[in-house]
Amino acid sequence: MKKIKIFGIIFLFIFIFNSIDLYAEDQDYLTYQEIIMSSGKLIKNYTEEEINSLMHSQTYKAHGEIITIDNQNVQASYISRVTELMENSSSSSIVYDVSYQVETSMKVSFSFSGTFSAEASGKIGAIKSEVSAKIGIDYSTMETRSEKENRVLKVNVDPNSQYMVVIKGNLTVTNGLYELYFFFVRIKYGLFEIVTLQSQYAALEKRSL
Amino acid sequence: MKKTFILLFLLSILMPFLVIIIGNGKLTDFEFYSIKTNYSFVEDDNRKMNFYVYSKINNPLISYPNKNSYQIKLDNQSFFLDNVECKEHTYKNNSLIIIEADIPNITDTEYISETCELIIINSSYKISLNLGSFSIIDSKYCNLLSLSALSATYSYIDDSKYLTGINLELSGNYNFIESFRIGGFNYGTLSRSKFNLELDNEVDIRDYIINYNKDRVEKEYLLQIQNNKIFIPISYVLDYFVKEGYIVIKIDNVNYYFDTFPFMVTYPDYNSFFNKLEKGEFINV
Repeated sequence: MKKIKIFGIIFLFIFIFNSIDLYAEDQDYLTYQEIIMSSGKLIKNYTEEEINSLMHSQTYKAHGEIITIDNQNVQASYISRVTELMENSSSSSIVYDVSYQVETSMKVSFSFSGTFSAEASGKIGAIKSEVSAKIGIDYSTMETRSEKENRVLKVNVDPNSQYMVVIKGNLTVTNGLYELYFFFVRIKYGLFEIVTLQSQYAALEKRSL
Repeated sequence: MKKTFILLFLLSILMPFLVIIIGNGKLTDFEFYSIKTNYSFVEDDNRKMNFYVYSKINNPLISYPNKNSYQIKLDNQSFFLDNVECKEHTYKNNSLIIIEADIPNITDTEYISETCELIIINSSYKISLNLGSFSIIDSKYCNLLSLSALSATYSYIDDSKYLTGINLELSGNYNFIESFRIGGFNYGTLSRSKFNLELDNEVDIRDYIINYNKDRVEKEYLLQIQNNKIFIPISYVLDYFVKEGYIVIKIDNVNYYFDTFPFMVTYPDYNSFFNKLEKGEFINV
């Protein structure tokens, strides 16, 4: 009876931590139109097999965390559409004053997809600290939030045309697997991702309607 | 025992005063920096301009508009900034403060100044920063240019990032380009322009323009337009950073302008331009 109770408590312990949620601190990069990595992929694109192969590549641990880095500081380019635009379906040019926003500062984003609920931000913070220490990022000195600046652009829009201001740039991606063990049992795990914006440039583009 | 407690009690009262006395001067000796930049803006209704200041401390007093006065001193005039708003970004143990204000109505043509000094005064101190250069053009001064595409190319030269070229695609039928510049101090080297070429935002310019020289300024050149897609290398009258600016281009003997465009959106890392950082003058009031 005693053994059944002990196993029951362990089972309950595992069950409590078995909900999977995506936690993303500042999700802007997840809304980008396109991110092209020079190698590897973002965690949102990982398959179950790829996650499992990361897990099974590690030996089990009696107690504590295992951080497995899959992609480290991988260079990537991205496209993020800023404003939709200025559209002219008439037969003569029209001058538009377009308001749009840009972010001036660099930004670091952290995402975690794993066996924590989104409310456990304290746990996420601890994981972020452990992961950043492992990969050598001094996260505390990096900006995780930036304000947007308002801009106005006067554009002469040609007939039957659509104009847009597109933000392009470069970033780096570091991602991998975080596992937490308790008495040789994996009680928590998840994929982490740190995306560091390196540069952003604006471009004006025109398309025909 | 009683004497010990009395001594500790007295020390705890006196300590704050000792800190203030000993630290006086050091506590208020703040450091502010700027990267000399070619600032250029189009003057139009309700337009704003932005200036960038680095601070060694977070949340400095200068970022509170209701506690400061902000003044710009140019070559031959100065004016106080109106409707100032400040945004602060904590950035690797430093702060980047964006000071936004109304663009002043100082010309109905174009005004160009080689110097631009920002003076901020509050009840505690006064700082003076050399921001770089300053140019303003009135939106009604010349025709608004129609473009199909516009972007900039940056390259590293001597460990600093420079705007080294403009990719543009004209919209319309033209014969000659006679001059091209960004603001008042960055000229397009038309004689070395390349048609039907569009470069990425970050390249080594010398892979495409052999012997590119940012200091070789060519203010005018008659370039016959072969194709509407053109890459124009950029030269520097003043060796200052270019983040954004308006374009003035003379095509077929007609002057056009294109509105202030944010070629580079992110402001450079404090350490990327360390050799171009200029420390502001700080005076305790």
